[in-house]
Amino acid sequence: MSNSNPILKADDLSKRYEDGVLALDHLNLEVRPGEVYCLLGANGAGKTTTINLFLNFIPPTTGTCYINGIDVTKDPLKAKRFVSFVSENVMLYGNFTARQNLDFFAKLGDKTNLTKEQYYQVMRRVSLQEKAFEQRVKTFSKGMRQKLGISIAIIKDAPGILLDEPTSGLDPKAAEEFLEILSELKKESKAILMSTHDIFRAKEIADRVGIMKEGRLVMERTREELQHEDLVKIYIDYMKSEPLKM
Amino acid sequence: MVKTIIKREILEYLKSTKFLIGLGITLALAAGSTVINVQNYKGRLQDYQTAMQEMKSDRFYIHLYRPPQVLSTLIQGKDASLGNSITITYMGIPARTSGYMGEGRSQPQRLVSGFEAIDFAFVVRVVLSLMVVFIAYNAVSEEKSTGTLKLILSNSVPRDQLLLGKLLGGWFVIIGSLILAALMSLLLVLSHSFIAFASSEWIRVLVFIGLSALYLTVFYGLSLFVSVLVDRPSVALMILLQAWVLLIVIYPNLGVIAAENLFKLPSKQQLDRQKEAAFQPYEAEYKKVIDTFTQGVGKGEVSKELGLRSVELDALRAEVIHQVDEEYGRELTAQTNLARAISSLSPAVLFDQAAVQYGRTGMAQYEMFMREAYRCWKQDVERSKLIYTDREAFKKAPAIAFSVPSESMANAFAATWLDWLLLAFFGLAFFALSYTAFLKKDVR
Repeated sequence: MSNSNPILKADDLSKRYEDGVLALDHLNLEVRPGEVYCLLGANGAGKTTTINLFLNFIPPTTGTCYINGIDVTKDPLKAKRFVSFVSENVMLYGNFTARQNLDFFAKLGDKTNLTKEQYYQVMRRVSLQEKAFEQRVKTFSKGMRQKLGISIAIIKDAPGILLDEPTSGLDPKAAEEFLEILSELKKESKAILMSTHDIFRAKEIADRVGIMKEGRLVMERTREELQHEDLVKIYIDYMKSEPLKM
Repeated sequence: MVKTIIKREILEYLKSTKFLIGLGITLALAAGSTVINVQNYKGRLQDYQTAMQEMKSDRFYIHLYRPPQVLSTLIQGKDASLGNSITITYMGIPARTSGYMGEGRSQPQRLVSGFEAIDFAFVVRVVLSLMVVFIAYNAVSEEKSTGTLKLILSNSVPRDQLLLGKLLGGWFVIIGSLILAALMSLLLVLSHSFIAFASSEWIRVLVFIGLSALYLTVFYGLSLFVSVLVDRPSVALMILLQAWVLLIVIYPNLGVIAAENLFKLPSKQQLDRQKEAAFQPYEAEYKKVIDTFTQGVGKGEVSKELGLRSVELDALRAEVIHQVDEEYGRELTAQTNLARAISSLSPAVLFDQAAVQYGRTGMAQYEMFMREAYRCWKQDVERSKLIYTDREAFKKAPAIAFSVPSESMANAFAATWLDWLLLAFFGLAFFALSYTAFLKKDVR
């Protein structure tokens, strides 16, 4: 982990929806280059809301999201140049081949003039089978689609990566392969913020883990701290604890 | 950026089964209907040419024939259904044409009924508009439901550019399909030696294709708007299909029914009474003159004055009857205009009205024929008077010249500018609504 400036930063971030629900309550977090930050929490804890705020899909009620030092609300298009996104269920365009999907999203990420071989290299890197490169994505399994989704993130080559429950629904082998790719990206100094329910894999990959409950970050531990603690127990204890007073 | 999105959209459509099926049906129907309409036109053209030869030989009965319009091969309108001939004498001018299926049908058919003929205009109005709905209902809603919208917008892609790219991509595919179907129909039409388009007809065809493009743009705008508003593609499709049925089938006919109830026309009995009343002041003299004339013909003694007066009274009787028919025609036109006004929120009605104007297959061309027939009848009355005033002059009098003037492009534009304007307004309004809704859309 480097001590350089954070790529992803939430500064006193809150979100209250129109129906009055407080989805996020004064969240502060930072993810630096080469760091993986895993957000754990039950459904509705505010993990996906955090990612949506980083991507400017919704405006914050208070606080600010920064990507590479750029205020996401003020200059979303500039900020998004420095971040890639992988969602829980990457459907992509079923009638397009893997390479065509990659080509389209690469161009949206300002990566033009890439050769077919360069696309193939990225797909090889995520261990997508060679024969799938020119196959229509509608024939892909979820694991293959997730690999292609991470290929899209890789090809954009942004310093920050946001992952919204990327291993959800993957079989153990596919999930393990996915984490290996994340480890490689971490080595390439990417700042990775991942929301997940998967406590075991979070412990395996994360440099820092945050547990969210009812919109608040109720606990944060570093990898070093977790070596002496049982993350599963901590998580369950927090989930069982009394509801927070809003 | 926009170019990348347009390219993807086009490729997506070209690869989709629904588009290929839709295009196949469109081309098959366009080809089938054109072949049938060309054969129909050929038959009517041959009948017309034969009739024109016969027309020269008769002096008392004057048969006037309405030429078939060459563009009826693409926009049949009412060209084949209103009757093609009228027979006049100085004693009378019929209120409507006969021939083909014209007898007794010309008046009610003035109103829009929606599905009169299967022709290229029908393919555009019904088949292509439905295809537009089918290919655009999920333009945004599917991207939302599959999450690709989130993935796209996680990049530095401005929403307006994304929508513009999607809009143009789909539009190019739709207009491409229209041009393909039009080219195929035109090739089928022009492959026949008896058909040739003059430059004015080419202009009309091009304007008609432009009108079709505008009409399809309205449905595309509507589909895009619903697709932006609704997150589930199946719900978007259901809403759009209901809107399509309403705009194409129900609403145009509701307009006609409403106009018929709001604007009552006189019955046949009332018309007959009006005709009798109109001639009442002359009835006594007419009976007397006709009786004397008939007796005179029996004896072989008809004075010039009596003969002339009998022609004048016959012509006067024909004239007053014609005036009642004319008045009825004006009321019918007013009723039609009311139906038009009520139905003008339907793009299908606007398209239909403008299309027949450019095909010269609507009521405007028919009414020009009827006006020309009336002018011809007036000439015939004057010529018939010569039988009693100057028999030699009558014998030498040339056959009455009859040619149906064609409606000019300027007139066609003047008659359809509101249709163009309304279609353009609907198209722009739907795109503006789509744009506004998309900028505010919750993409989560």
